[in-house]
Amino acid sequence: MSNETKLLLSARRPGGHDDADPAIAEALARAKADPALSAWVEEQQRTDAALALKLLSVQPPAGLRETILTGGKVSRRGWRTWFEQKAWKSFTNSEMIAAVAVAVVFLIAAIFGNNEPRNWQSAGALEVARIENTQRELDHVVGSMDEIRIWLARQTCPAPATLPVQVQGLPIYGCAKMNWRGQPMSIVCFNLGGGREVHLVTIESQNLPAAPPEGTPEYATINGYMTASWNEGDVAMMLIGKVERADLEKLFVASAKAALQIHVQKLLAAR
Amino acid sequence: MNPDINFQLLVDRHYAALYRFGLSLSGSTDAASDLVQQTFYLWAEKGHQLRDATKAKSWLFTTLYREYLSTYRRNVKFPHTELDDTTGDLPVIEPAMLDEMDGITVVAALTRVDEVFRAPLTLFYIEQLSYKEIADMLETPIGTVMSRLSRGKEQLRKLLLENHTTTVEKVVQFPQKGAAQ
Repeated sequence: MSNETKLLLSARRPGGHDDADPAIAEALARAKADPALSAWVEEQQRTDAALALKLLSVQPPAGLRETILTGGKVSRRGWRTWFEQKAWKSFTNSEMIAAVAVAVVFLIAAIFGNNEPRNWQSAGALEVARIENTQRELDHVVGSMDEIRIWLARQTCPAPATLPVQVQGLPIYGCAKMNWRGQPMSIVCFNLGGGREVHLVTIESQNLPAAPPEGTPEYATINGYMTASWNEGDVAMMLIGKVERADLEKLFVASAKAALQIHVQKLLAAR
Repeated sequence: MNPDINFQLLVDRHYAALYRFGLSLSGSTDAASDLVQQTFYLWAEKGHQLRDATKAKSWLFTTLYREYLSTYRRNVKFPHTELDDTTGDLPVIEPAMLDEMDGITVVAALTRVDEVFRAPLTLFYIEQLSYKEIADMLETPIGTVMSRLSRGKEQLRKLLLENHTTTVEKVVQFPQKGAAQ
C-alpha cells in the first residue's frame, strides 16, 4: 500500500496542480494518517518544487520567439528536415523504385484519364471534402476576410464578391486555392458553430459554360453537401456545407427574425 | 479547425516550456531551438485541424517529442516498466545543496537520465502536463508513467548528488594541491 501511495504521490506535480485528481487526493489523505509517509511527501514536494524552479529559470535564447513568429527560418528548416531526414533517408532502394513506379502510374492516369468533375460546383465540392477530411491543408490560415482578399489577389485567385449577410459575422478558418479546367478558384472556410463548417467557393463566371442565376441562390445537393450557387458581377459563388437547406437559407437573410419568418412561411405552405 | 487559437498567444504561452523540454531531451540549445521552431512550423501547417482548443498544449508537446524521436533518436523502443519494481525511496538532496544548484546544472543532469525516464520527468518538472496527459502523450499506461517518474527522480537525484560531490571535491582539492607545492 505504501509503495503504491508513493508511486501515486511521485506523480503529483509541485504547486498542487493535481490535488483535485481523486487518486492523488486519496493518496494524500492516506499520507496524512501516516507520519512516515507524510514526512516522505513533504521532502518529495520540497525537492520537486526546488528542481522545478531551477528548470523554470532556464530561459530560451534571445530572438527565438521572434523567429517563431516571423516563421521564415522555421519553414525553410521544416522542408529541409523533411527532405533530408525523413523522405530520402528512410527509403530503401526498392521503396524508391516502388515510389517512382506509383508516380509514373499516377502520371499516366493524369494524362490519359478523364476524371475531372463536370462542373465547377462538383470540383469545389470535392476539394471541400478533401479539406474537411484533412486530406489537404488550407493554403492561408487567417481569420480576417480583408487579409484573405489581399492574399487571393496576390495569388491571382478570384475573391468572393459580397458575402451573404449572415456569413459576414462567422469566424473564418482561412482559405485554399484550386483549379478547375485551368481556371483558378478559391475556397474560404467558415465556422458555422456547433462543430459545423460552411465554405464559400468562388470562380470567375465569364468563362463558365453555365453561370448560376444572378443574385438569387440556386440550391442543390452535391456529394452529400448542400450547396447554394449564385452569380454576382464577374464571379460565381457557391456556399457549401454538410448542413440542411434551411441552414444555408438563413445565411442569406438579414436577421434571425427574417430567418424565422421564412421557416414559418414554409411550415404554413407545407400544410 | 479552430480559429479561436491565436498563434502569437500560443507561442507566448508555450515556447519557453517547449524549449526547456527540447533542451532536456536533446541537451543542446541549438537542437532545442530547432525543435521548438519545427513544432510551431508544424502547428502553422496542421494546427488548424485541431478541433479542440484545449488540446493545443498537449499537441505541441507531443509534436515536439515526436520530432525529437524522428530527428534525433530514430527507432528507439522503450520497454514498459512495471508498477511494482520501485520502492519510492529516493536519495535525499539537502536544501542547502539545492540552493547552490542553478538551472543549467539541473538540465545537464536531466540529459544524463536514461531516455526512457527523461521525457516524463522533464514534463513533470516543467509542470505543464498531468501524469494522465503525460501517459496519453507517450502512449504509455498510467502506472508505467508513475513508475518512470519515480525511477527517473531516483536517477536524477543520484546524478545531482554525484555532480555536487565531484564539484566539492574539485573545490577542496585546489588548496590541497597548493599547500603540497
